[in-house]
Amino acid sequence: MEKNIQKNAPKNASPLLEIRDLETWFYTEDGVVRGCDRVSYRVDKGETLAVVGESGSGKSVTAMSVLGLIPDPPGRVVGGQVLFKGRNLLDMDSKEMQQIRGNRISMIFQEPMTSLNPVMTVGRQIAESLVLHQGYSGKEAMVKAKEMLAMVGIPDPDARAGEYPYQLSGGMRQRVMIAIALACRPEVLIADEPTSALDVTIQAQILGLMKRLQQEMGMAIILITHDMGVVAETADKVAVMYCGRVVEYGTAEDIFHDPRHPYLEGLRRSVLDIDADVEELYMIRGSVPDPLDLPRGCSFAPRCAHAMEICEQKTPPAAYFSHTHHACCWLYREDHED
Amino acid sequence: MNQGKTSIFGVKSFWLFLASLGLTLAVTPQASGHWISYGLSAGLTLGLLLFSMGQYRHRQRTRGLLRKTGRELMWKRLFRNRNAVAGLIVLVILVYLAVLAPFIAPHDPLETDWGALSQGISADHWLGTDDMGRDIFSRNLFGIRVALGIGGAAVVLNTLIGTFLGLVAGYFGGRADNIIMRALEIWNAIPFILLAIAIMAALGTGIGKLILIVSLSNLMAFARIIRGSVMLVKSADYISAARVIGIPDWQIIRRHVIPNTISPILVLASLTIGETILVIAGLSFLGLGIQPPMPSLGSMLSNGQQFLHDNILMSFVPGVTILLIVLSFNLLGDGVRDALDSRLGD
Amino acid sequence: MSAPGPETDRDDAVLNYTVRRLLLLIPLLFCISVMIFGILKLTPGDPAVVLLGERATEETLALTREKFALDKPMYVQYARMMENFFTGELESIYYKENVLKVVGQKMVPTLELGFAALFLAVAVSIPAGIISAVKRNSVFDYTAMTTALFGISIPVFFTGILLIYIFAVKLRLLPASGYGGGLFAPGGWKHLVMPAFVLSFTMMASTTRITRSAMLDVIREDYIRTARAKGVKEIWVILVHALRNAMMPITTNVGNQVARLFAGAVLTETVFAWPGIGRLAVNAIFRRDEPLVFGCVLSLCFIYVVVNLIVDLAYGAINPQVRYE
Repeated sequence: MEKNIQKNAPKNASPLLEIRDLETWFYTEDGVVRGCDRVSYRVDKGETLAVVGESGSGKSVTAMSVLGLIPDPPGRVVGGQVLFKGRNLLDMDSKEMQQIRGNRISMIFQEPMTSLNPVMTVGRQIAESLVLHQGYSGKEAMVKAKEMLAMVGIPDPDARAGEYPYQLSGGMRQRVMIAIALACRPEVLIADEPTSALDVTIQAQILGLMKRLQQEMGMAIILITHDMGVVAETADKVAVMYCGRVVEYGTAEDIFHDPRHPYLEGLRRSVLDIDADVEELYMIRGSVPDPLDLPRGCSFAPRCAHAMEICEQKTPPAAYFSHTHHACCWLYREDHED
Repeated sequence: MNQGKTSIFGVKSFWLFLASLGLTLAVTPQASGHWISYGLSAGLTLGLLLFSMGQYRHRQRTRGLLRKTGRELMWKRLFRNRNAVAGLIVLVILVYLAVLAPFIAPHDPLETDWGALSQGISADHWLGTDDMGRDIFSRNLFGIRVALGIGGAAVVLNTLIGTFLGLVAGYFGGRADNIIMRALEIWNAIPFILLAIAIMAALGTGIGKLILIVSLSNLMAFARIIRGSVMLVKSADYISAARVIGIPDWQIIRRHVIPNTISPILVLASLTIGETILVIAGLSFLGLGIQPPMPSLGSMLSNGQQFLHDNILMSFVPGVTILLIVLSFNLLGDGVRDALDSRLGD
Repeated sequence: MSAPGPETDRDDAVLNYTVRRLLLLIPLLFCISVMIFGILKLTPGDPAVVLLGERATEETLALTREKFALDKPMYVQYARMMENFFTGELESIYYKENVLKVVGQKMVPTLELGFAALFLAVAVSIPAGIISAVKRNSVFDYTAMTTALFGISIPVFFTGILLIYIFAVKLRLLPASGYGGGLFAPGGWKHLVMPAFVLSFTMMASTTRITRSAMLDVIREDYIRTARAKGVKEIWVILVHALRNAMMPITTNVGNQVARLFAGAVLTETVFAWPGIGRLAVNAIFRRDEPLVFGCVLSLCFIYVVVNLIVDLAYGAINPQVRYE
């Protein structure tokens, strides 16, 4: 199997959304931070891709780059492609981009408490994108907005539509955010830690809701999270990020049962396994390197138990284990001796 | 990082002290007759010496410590702000011009030169003379002195009264709080200029009354800030603990409340002073403030307006001076606010 | 279908609140009038002489003592003073006329000046502040912020004198002073231009600064990102989503500036010899015309309190979290 590594590279079918070698840099006072560094992943219709990693690993930056929401200055997308149905979003002008945002690709954010405009009724905030993208009149949009509120499970939607965000709880607000994102029946939904700020019971409800709506609408979901439990429950495919790079990519099956990258090994062992006789939480030694001063080779090398000489010299390219599974690690590459 | 040896010459205020000492020594031969100004200058010099010694000792004590105290960080931030430093430098110059006015002024500000009425710039009268032949430069110097003196006094008084009211309202709460805050609300419901007009209509004008009236103009802002932070501190557990073990109220206030409120007071005071000087100048312009013949920038302008056709210097010089004073206070005030605000965010 | 929704509930609440605030004006104005009455009572000397002036005869003095109950206790004096004020018995010493009438005549130019300045300040400063925030660190931003810094530092009367020197004395484009019959009289606007600009300058500067910093704060908020992610046009994001939130601190500031506008109006009227109520009040002090001072101060307070109420209501209209209970 190890010999087929190069041949297993994915065939070039055109997926719904594909990110290729995306690079987003932040020009700060202290130097350049590579928020995401040659990130590639893809997601197909009806599929859920989970993007996991510690905070600061570039998950959100990648997602925001897709929709062109990186604040400039200090950030800028400096390279790569974001292909949506074969068209590069990064080449679009702002007018075309506005047609995509909230209409064909939507996004929901981590902070439901602050992500809704405090001086607009929630009904209007939902109706806004319908008027904007679907040519609804104000009245029609309001009717549809109430339907959306009912759909995301908010009781008494007629009354709630006229309320302001401060009158709703955190879980309710996240439901409203989902309603806003799904109002135009987008083809891709990017959910940036949609449940991290919520209680555990509410988390499960929101995830269940997203799953249900995905089945109804057939959209693709990119779910950004640092919670491996959530990944196990929802993901079809998983991209693992570390220091701005995707270090391993595969189906949920691959990642949970056949993880290859040393980082993932640690991550998996650090999730408490009730069955196993684990006394202590597994800790990856060392800490995440300073983003301003990344190692020259593999970013994980300083913490890696298997680090070799080349790991500190050169960034590891992808090693393919199957059509769907690859990891960026010298352990699986035979060309490092050349 | 404070590494290596600290020298007294590394303390910036020490250089200021040396400059101040030099100036004071330079005017010593003329000291007789201007004892107040001379005393002020000497006092300022002594103050600077004590301050720089204090700084020096503080540095020696904290030498080698990596962590800086909040106050050190504030100063560092303030000195990195170019606008604030410019404001500070102009202010220091203005203060010395004000204090040393009698020694610097080439003429007596009240002396009328009937042979040189309303003249332009000349070697004898650097900024010309006014309609009564008085030297504009000299009058302007004394005007700065009056503006800074009265403005400073009014702001100090304003801060003290406002702080006191806020302390009482916040610390004792209940009825005291209710009465004080309601009274201040009504006080605030009358535009200050109208209060000043009413009081001056009843009592007439005068410097003491002017300071008192102006110092009552901005009570609400001070009282509110102090009251808020007193209430916050009061609800803290350590205050209840202090009360339980029988520490008297005034000591709790001194130990816990004052240190916690000092920076918002400082910001507010530094942002208020420019405005206070504008108010005083405005009242003087109306003839309700500082009364002639005492030179004041506001009344110089009001006089100058009548001679716009003949001598623009009469209006231009005091106008620009007020602008400069208030501008530098505002620059410094903005700087202090930014330096302290960002500390809260750390 | 037309069942009362939350919107109509809120409308009712707003109406209720407005009425209640209007009723609250009565005790407030009462307190203010007592305070002013108290301050004027501090005047040393015979109160009858104070009310009538130095040249009054013994006979009229006695009459005044009777009319104003000057030998009675303070509260009777206050009641009588207010009664006389509202019935028009209170006469200006200098004008020998009913105080209310004198004040009424001078009120029109002052209101004209004040509202022109208020309008000008808001119309210039809010767009300028927005552009400064959006184009942060641009040439426009630096220019606007420097101008604004000068604006809050320059004395109103110095701005006035400089403008008179440039536009009236040197260029001879505009009249140096005077009223000119008001905005609607032919050529009246020429008289209004300079005073209105001078009066609005400080407020313009301060509101520009506040608008800029409020917009910068708001633009960083998460809900602005949400709006962008929804595909809202950038100009719409700024003008609808951001500005409405920024309007809260801006409105508060405008309210605070109105008090300063009054001080500015007194000074502006003096510089430009504008026949308004501010100048009337100052002249009344010099003429020791105490009844007129009382009338001027009380009527200006009334306007101020009403303007403040309008600002408060505007704030409530912007911020849905203001509860009308």
